[in-house]
Amino acid sequence: MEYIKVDKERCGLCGGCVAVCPAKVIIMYKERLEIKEGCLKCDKCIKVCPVGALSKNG
Amino acid sequence: MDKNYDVIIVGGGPAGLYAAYKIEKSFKVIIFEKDDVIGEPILCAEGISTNTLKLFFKDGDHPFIRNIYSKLKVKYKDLEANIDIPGRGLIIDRSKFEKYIANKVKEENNFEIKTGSFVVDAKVENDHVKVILENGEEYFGKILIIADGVESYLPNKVGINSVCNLVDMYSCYQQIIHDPNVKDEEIIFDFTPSVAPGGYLWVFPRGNNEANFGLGITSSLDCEKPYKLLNEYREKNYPNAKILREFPGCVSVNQLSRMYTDRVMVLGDSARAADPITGGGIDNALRR
Ligand SMILES: Cc1cc2nc3c(=O)[nH]c(=O)nc-3n(C[C@H](O)[C@H](O)[C@H](O)COP(=O)(O)OP(=O)(O)OC[C@H]3O[C@@H](n4cnc5c(N)ncnc54)[C@H](O)[C@@H]3O)c2cc1C
Ligand code: SF4
Ligand code: SF4
Repeated sequence: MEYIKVDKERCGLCGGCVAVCPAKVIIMYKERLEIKEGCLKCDKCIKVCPVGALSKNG
Repeated sequence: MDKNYDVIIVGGGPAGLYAAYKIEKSFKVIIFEKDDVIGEPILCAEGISTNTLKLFFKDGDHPFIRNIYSKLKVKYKDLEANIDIPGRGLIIDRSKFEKYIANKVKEENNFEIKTGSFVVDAKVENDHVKVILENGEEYFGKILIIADGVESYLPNKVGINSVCNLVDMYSCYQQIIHDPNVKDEEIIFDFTPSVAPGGYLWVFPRGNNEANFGLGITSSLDCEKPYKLLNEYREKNYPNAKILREFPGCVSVNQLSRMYTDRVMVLGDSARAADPITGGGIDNALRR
């Protein structure tokens, strides 16, 4: 299971999580966010998100 | 189709567009923008100074101005300063602003702007650069300008580390509100720590009692999320406000110490060029 879960309804595609991700595994396409393999489980993306659209799975 | 260019620019925001406008017209230049329309969507409070306008757009009319304010209110806890600042700053229509520069790029410079084109990868190879689009298409250039905004995904692909520290990032939330208590002539900053921890709250008047109303907090702090803080403040201070649109946003500061490498330049938010005090990034995106 992926470590980070994206709430698509909440995400406003602001790019903050992409900017702080040290593993560069988050990609922001035109209309969606995708998290590739290689997550370091640092939780920085959760912290930066202004709307709480990211959370830990499980 | 020939896919060789002198300059390839990634990102059709103020930084990418203005850089293109400044390139010698005889060059063959292409801009890739992932969104379908230049200037949309907009995640910005749209404040710029009159200086920026004078510096970059001396000639002609400025069809992108929304409102010119004349008063500044700064709040900190119980303290309040009210200052007259006629003619110092204005609120623009960011969408029209970007379209205005894009038109110059297309009509005066004859450069190509390819929208709906997401660049997934970039490489520097011997005597050229290569970018790859989401659909697999490859383009080649002598020089690559990366202006892919706050997300700054591409610099790391070419060996420039642009990962932003949480302390250098401001997590923001903005609502466009309509409220009779919004004064068209007054811009407000509230630095009260409990309102916006490590950042500030802004009310930028758009005219017709509308405002870009938002706040940004330092992302490293443990506190409520920006959208909650903003809603609390609005319910207290603008209880009857109508919300016309709302969105999250992020502003990064602490400019990269090295914004270039062989054949590549990084500009604007991608290079973390926004002003560390105000978070304003349009002026610096035009400058570098
Ligand atoms: C809530 C908020 C309020 C703000 N208010 C102000 C303000 O009042 N005044 C001010 O001066 N600044 C403000 N800013 C900052 C300002 O918006 C930025 O500094 C400015 O947008 C930077 O311009 P840019 O061209 O570097 O980046 P952007 O405007 O982000 O442009 C980057 C462009 O690149 C595109 N792109 C990204 N990746 C790719 C890719 N891989 N392939 C193709 N295209 C791509 C994006 O779609 C985007 O159009 C605010 C920011 C926020 C978040
Ligand atoms: S937890 Fe850290 S490494 Fe994993 S996606 Fe989030 S920011 Fe990237
Ligand atoms: S920080 Fe939050 S709102 Fe912004 S792109 Fe990432 S998940 Fe979406």
